[in-house]
Amino acid sequence: MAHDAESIKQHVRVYINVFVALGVLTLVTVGVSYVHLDIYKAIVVAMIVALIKGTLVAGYFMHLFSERRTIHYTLALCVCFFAVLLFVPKFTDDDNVLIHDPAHVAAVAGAHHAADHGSEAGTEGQAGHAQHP
Amino acid sequence: MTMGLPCEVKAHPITGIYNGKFAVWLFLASEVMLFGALFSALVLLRAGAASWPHGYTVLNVPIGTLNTFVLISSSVTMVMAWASLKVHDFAKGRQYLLWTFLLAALFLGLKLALEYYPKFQAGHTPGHDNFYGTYFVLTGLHGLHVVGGMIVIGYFLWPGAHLWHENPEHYTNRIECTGLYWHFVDLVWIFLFPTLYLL
Repeated sequence: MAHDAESIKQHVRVYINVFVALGVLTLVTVGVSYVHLDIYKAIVVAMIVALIKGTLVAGYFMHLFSERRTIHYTLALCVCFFAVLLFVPKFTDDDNVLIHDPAHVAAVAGAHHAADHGSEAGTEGQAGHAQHP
Repeated sequence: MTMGLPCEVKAHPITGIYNGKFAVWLFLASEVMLFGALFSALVLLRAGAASWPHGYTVLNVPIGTLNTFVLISSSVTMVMAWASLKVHDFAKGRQYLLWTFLLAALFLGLKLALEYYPKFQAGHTPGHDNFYGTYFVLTGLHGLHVVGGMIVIGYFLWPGAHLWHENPEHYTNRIECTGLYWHFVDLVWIFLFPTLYLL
């Protein structure tokens, strides 16, 4: 990536425009939070704005748009693993249901108790999973 | 003449970029996984909680917004420092680096004085509940990253500045790597702010 004085001047203009865009988008995010949207809509709006801001920072400030393919491939792999990490809670369904609900906690404790006694009596594995309330 | 590390200024023939930059990108990939795991924990805890407060009811949104502007501004000054060094204007580059350092200090000052201190005064410590636990872990780890960035920026502002006079291109590359890290810190905050404060 060549950087002569003229191209750096153009870069600086882009940085200032990105700065203004980031400021406006921050105000948009905060403004939307005062509307008190339904939580699912609020999450979608907040994440879309954050994604746009993140793209601007990574693309222009970190020069990712003009970066080498080696970096793009490395980050693509990273994004895949990141997505897996974010969806891990979805894979652990047993723990993802009202973990603070007393009835659920009691049911899990009861199931574990039954499993312990079951294994002592040679019935291991029959009561291994907690039932959701 | 001192022997340097291979490809610390010139591009590596295979990757096409100098080694330091590739190393920083790999480090940032590992950082994505670190913060990704914590975000995942937040999703798990929030989805599983019987009740979870909206961030705007318990956290200081105006200070969080101000801090967002501070961090965005520091990202701009950081990239301007690199741009100035690219056109061989060391004085201007150093001035922008100093602004980045000061903005980072302002971010931490606001965070500690106007957010953490009142929370601790009110007994809202990390052990208070899961919300405050995740809030302090995520913002605390981010704050530690800001401190780490300040140490590196401070190094290149003062003791490490002599490198410019010995090898300007090498110094500029190091500022570019520092900038990559600093923009990542900004990037994490861009996602942390709405997740914790606004939802």
